[in-house]
Amino acid sequence: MKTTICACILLLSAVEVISALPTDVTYTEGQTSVLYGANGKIAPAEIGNVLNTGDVVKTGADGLVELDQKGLVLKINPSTVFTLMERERGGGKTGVLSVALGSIKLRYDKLTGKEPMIQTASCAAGVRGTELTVFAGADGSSLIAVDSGAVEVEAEGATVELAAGEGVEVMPGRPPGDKFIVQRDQIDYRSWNDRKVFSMTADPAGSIEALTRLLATYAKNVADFDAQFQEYSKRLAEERQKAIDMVKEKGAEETRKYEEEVVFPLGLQTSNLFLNLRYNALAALSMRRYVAGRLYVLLKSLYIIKPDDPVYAAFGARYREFLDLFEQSIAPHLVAADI
Amino acid sequence: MGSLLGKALSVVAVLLVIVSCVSTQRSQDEASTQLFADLINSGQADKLVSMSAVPFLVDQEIVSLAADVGSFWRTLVQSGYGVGAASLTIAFPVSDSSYREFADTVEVNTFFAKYVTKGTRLLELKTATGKRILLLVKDELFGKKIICGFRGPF
Repeated sequence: MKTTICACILLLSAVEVISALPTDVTYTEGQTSVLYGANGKIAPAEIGNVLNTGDVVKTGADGLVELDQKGLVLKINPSTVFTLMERERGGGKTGVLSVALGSIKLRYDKLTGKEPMIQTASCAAGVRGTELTVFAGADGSSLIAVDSGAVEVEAEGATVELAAGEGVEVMPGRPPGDKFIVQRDQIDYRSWNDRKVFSMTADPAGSIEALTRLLATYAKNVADFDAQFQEYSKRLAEERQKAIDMVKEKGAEETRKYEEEVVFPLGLQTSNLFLNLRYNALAALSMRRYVAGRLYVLLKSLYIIKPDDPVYAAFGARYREFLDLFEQSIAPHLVAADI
Repeated sequence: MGSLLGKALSVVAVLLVIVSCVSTQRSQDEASTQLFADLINSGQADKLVSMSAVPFLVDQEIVSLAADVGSFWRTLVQSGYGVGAASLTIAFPVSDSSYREFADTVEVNTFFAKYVTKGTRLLELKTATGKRILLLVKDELFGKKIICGFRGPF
């Protein structure tokens, strides 16, 4: 794990506190847990808990959690893995509601124009609607169904606009499919997901190839943001030193002006780069843990007495490539609390 | 002379305690092996599920959903997997480097550091087919055993 992660915790902590949007747990039922991103501890979700960026909520087969995020009510359905994330977008910080597996239902009391993005393994959605459901399948595919308002779904550079009563499915590594008409609460997650599991196990090598392509996108983003972050960190250190030297030469007033105009904006840009780096690394981890890893364990248990079966052997070879890419490009940017 | 005899007796007593501890540990490890073999051979997936920790380690993968741990054992049993008359080949307490027995990765290293508690044993079993499997087993109070990880067969 890179020392840069530790090195910039101080830099980021101030920004995190300002930008993180606390989310209250308002209802829980059945088996639930929260993995707290700040310290890596795991505890059951309880009414009154306040969740922050990086926290992961998991619900069991009988579990249900409701969250309130200042006008946004989120219902986390059974068998779901949901993470509160954050990323930089257009120079500012945007909340990201990440659904790795399962489904969530969102209802906005009012729209402010600062709605968080919705992220699954295969797509991102910008919300301009007031009520929608997001399904994340075992194979990394997604289905977005809008009950009211409008939602923009983006994947692989293509965008689809959904209006009320419309839905779209996105397969991993593909652009969004065709829109279709969907009635409120018409889609049953379990049967939809069962079909995903069936197609995934019918072609496991193809499934892991698609996930490897997705991982490669995350890996490229991580590498790009990391390179920029390193460059900006260096520049920030130089500018800070310059400001220290300036006090003696030009006085406190001019130094303060310099800090406000140069050092502080550079610090924000640097922290935004780190935020995006971490966002991509954590999204990749989520995809590995709740999509690719689950596929591996399922395949292993299915083929345990016939490991030489060509289907399993083909999957195994491609899974090794997936793991190698993850280890080389994502793992160095994770910390123990993430795992 | 008396004091020499006393020292010798003390040494013998210490040795006996050590031998006894080693033998007790060995019998606990063998009991774990036997229990696991009985459960998997007789298809008692639910019992294996109830003995499994969450998160659970399968090879290099951390299984962090309880439903998936259940699904793993049940599918394994449904697939007809058994270990026959498995025997314990190696057993040792988990150490800082034990994670490498599963996978030399950041994730598995963190799993061991974060979720594998002190006193957990790493058992290597030889199955009837000659293949080996690894189990991470923690002995708890009143003979209760917790399985934290499974690797193999290899």
